[in-house]
Amino acid sequence: MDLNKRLKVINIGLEGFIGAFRDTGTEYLNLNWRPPLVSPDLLKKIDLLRASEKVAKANNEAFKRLNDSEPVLIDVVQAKEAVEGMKDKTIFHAGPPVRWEDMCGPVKGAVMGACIYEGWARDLGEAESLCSSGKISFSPCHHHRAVGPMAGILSPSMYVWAVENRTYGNRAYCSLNEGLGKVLRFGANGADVISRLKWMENVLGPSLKKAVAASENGINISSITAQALQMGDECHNRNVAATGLLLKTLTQLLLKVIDDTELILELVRFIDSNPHFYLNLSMAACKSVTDAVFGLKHSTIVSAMARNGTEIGIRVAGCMDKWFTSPAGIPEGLFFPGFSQEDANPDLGDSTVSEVAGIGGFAMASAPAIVKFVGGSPRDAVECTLQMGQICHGKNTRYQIPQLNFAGTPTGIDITKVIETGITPFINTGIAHRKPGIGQVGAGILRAPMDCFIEALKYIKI
Amino acid sequence: MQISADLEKAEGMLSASLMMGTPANKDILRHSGLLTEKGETAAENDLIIALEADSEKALDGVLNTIDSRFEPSLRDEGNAGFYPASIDSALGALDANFALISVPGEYAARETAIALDRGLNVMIFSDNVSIDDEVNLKNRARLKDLLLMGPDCGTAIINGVPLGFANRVQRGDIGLVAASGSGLQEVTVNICKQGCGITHAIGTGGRDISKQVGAATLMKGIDILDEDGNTKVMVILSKPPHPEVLKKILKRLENVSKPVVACFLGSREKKKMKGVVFTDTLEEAAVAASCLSRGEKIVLPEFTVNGIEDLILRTKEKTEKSGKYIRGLYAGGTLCDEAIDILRKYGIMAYSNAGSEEKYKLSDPDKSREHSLIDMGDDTYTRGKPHPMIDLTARNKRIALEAKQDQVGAILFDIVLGYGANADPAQAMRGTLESIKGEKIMIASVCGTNRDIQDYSKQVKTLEDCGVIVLPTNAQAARFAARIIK
Repeated sequence: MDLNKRLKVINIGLEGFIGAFRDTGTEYLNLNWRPPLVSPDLLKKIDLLRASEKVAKANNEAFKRLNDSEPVLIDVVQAKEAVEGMKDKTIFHAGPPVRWEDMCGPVKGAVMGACIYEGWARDLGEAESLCSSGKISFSPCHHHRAVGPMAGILSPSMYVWAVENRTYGNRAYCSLNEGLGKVLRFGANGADVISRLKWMENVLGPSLKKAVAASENGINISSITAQALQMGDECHNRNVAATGLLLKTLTQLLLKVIDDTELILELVRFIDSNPHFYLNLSMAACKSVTDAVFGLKHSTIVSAMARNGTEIGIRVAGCMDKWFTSPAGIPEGLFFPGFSQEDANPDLGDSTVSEVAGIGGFAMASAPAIVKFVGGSPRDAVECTLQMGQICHGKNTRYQIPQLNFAGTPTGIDITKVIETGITPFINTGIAHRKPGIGQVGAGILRAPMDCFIEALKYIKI
Repeated sequence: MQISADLEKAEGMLSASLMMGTPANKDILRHSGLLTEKGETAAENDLIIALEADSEKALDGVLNTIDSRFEPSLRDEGNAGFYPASIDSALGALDANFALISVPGEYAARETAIALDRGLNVMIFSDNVSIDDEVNLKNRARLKDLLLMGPDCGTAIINGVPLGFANRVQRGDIGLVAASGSGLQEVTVNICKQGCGITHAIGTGGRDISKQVGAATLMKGIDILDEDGNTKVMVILSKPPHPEVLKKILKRLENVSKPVVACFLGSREKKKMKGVVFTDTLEEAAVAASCLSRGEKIVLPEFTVNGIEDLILRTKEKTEKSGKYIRGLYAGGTLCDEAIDILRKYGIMAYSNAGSEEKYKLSDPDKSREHSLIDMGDDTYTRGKPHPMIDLTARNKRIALEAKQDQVGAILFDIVLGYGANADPAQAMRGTLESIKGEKIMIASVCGTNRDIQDYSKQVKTLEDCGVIVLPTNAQAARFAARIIK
């Protein structure tokens, strides 16, 4: 062997040693090393998983599926007609399974609102006793190829986006976004909330259905997301550009299928007034992408990450439908006037399906505007994406970030990397009031807790 | 516009305008009397900076401001840092070929295994790595044809890059392999003082020469230097290896194609072998290697200082009035060993917490007796505390304590410079040394070069100002102590 090549050094440990590298013009990188979070046994397990060809093959396949998936909007349809298991007196919610007694304030608020909206109860009192009676069947959206933002409440009459993964053939669903502030998904359930839901059921849903039906081959969602990432969105907490792009396409289709210009104007105004209108569609798309890795044997890639306001849960591709849960964290962020950190409900919603698919917090570098919103700087946004790159299997070839020289977004969270580096996924989120009936009080950022990843590692057999 | 507005606020500034050189803009400037002849020649894509000030001085100040405004202002906010948390992450950003590992010992083996697996040469600075791990890792390195230095390898210089505690020495044609940290530093520094230079200084970690490890790294180092076209002379440096291991090393040395200098410090048996020069001290190893490098006959002088006999005589007179014992306080473990060996040659047996002779082992290293040389970098002193090369507080206290003893005649110590060491060690000792000045003879050597960040000459000067007699090498310092006490 020959030592006469120029040294390029990774320094692991004492930072003081880099002085010599600086003085001699030696290329180096200083590792941000921290003692491992887990016992030597579990570290050994990580090493064995890394060395396993089966695992490597499965993870390569998982990344390929996440990367190659092409979600296309094919329909807008009532939940009871399309979503598997959506029967009468059935309510789906965000996150891992949770019983009525254990639901947090905003989820309870949204559930009661849905009971009134469906006509199962006349008021909140009736709704509450109905839910306590055990006559409502609760189930996580994730168990039914669906997702929902925040409380993630889905009831039979609600319209959903139906997205097909063109590459792998599976479909996924998500409700339509109601707008900002006092809305069902943040736990609000007043008369205005219910009447808006009714309008969405009677006017918005059917109109969108017609519009999508008029499209030639559906609407390609991955291409809208890819464009939006280059326009300042990360497609989780910022959907301004994507909503605009979607609206461009929808407007043409609406003009094609509806003669009543007043109605079109009403629809366009509704969509235009809500910069997060695209979010739910993007989530359905992400769900169709991440479901493509569900149950992929031996893979250590995360297939789902979701919160119900009580717990956060992750699923790992190779561990089938098993949820690994930890108590949900409380997001820190900015609050609307009159509200503070004390009002914040623990982390909530299925919208982290975005990060699992490689956008959202993982594409933060694309959206410096929202880092500012939560008190950071554009530099923090880039660092966030670089950091997420350390826990992902690869870089997306479809979703690229101009600020990072068009590098792909980090895609495919590998639990072994999360545990080895001590870096947990960034989560961008809205903040709901902890009491039912109030709604959104702010927005913020938090990190997923490490415990659920460690639980998953313990569960995996090697 | 923003820049113009800011500039006009500057003292002595009458008007300022920054405009592209379009005809319309030039008109505006012309009308305000701000367009000079040079300004007239500006094209549409040129930026015209037009300034009117009440003095040349005011203009100069403003020109500097303008320069700074055209620097990329995003330097702080725009350049996001990448903080890799794993070797794999780091490899995504740098096609590294080397890893320097200094994490706590219990974690070092895993990082090393990963680094080797990714094809990196490794130096493990960390100690507290189990010997089983060391054997396994060195096996892995051998199979992958990689160099693994350490664990507990404090210093190395590979292809001109100092690693860990290392000095800045010049490049040359002498290559070294050493199972001793401060020993390697002393030899490289002395080679440098001889006007020669080094190719690579490979460290092995002290346990490499044990029976279990079987000199895995030392043998690899010999192979590397033997094949290395830039290396003309090879130096092997260690404490006496396990007899079986020594046999293996000597067998390999028989087949080395270039001149070898071997120093098994503390070994009593005389060895002879064609093509190998065996030396007793670090200093001799450096001198012999330098002579071989220059193609000269090997000459090993006792001292290299002019007028040394005079100085010895004068100093001896002073010690006759004070005590008769030497107390040595060392930061470099191998330097302490070398000094013990040298004193022995002068018939002075020193007690120590280091050294190979059981008979002269101090039962309590905190309590010196008769002649005592203490390795203050030993585990007993560094567990949970900084090494005396970094923090001199503990050694200063000990020196002050020894100096109070009536029977003590001379205080002997070393100072080790280089990366990782204290930024100004002589200065850190000044208070202590000045309090002893005139009471006891103080003798020292400084292991370092003028290119070291601490600057050899500056350190020597500080010591001499404090009344310390500074000898060019650790060996000469010990000899000097022996001569004045004897």
